[in-house]
Amino acid sequence: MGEIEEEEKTAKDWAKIIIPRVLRAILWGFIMGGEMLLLLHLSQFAPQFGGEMMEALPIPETAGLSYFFLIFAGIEVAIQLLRGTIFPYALSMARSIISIILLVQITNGGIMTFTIQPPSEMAAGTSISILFTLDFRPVLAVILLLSLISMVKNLLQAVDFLSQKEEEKSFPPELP
Amino acid sequence: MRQSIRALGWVVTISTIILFAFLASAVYSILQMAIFNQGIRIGDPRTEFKDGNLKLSMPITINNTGYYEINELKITTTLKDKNGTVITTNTTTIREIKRGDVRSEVHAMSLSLDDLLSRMKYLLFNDTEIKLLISIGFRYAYALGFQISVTNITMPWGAPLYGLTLKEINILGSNGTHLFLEMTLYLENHSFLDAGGALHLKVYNEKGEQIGEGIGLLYVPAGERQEDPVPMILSLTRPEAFTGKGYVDVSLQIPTYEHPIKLGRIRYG
Repeated sequence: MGEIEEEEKTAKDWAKIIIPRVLRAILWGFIMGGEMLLLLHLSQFAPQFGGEMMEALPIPETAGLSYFFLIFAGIEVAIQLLRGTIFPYALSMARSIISIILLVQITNGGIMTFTIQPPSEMAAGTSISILFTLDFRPVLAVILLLSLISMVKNLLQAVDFLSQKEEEKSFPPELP
Repeated sequence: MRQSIRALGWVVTISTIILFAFLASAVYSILQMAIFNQGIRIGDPRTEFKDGNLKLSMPITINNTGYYEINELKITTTLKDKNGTVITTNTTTIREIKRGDVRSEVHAMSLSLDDLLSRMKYLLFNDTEIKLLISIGFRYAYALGFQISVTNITMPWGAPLYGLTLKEINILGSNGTHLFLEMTLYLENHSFLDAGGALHLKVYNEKGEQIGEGIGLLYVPAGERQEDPVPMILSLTRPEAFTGKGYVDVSLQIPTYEHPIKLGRIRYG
């Protein structure tokens, strides 16, 4: 019966299924990391806005953060495109694992050190350097804990999804 | 199962909102306190020289106008020589500053010249640079740690006995028991303090036998040089062994350093 329905789907029907998914994927991809990617690379597209902002940030290079947000947005797009299958749960778990590893790596385990340029009148003719260290290990630990809980939630959702599928298959056909 | 999953979802969402709200308020609060209200103030450093100790003190005032407590505020100052050897260091700790509180402390660093010269005698004779490191660190809201370190602040060190050279000894005369002489030496006092002390001389004849010893006074004001001969009187312990030729071992005893500093050997006659 299902196969007959599949055969009967026209290009218009497929478009009705695929286009909302793609639009939803683009929207969620933008929300879940795309906007941060855009913000980080704003200086390349519009130097008059992004250049000043990036100079104000005490981050020497944004490559690590770019990868982080790129992976986040990419996985979100895949999750939205594959809705209704087991893959979004697996992808969510993969995203949690990757974000845990990347967060620990990018933030140097929760201790970040930045070199700040001293004021010109202070640094004239000297080699004075100012180091700013931010230690947010307790906050990072909470974020990692929340990621772990999120992973457990995704695992349970995957189990629930599979068991529901099994239940649908094994439903006695003689029952109404 | 569904209820558990839903509960977990809510736990994650609510916890994330609380965490980011806390982070936003903490960051806003610290910026407000440190930058806009200038809650951490370090006054002008003062130097004091007393009893052979150089004391550097800085008044510090913390006005916690933020929403959270400040803990374990540590101010560390370290003096290092050009090679990175620590000359002196000191840390002032303020355990807790509750929100709304104002605390004032004086951070002091003491430098004993006796201790300094016993470890780094070259500072007496060579101009160099001394590096100052200042570090301020504290925990905010028990969760965020901040530390600002200013390194490589260089301060010139002027040697009090710069370029010291023993030039010559002229024997002016003798009365049989005492020897009157003058020693010409050259030095520049690049230090901010007056330099001086007692010059101790041990006189030997050309066979290497000690024949007497004596003392003279050296005084060079800060920023000046010594070129004039220093008059000295030596007591001859073995006048019969005095042949008019030999050598003198010269050492200097300065008030801030208990051990005599060997300046070298010079020939006479």
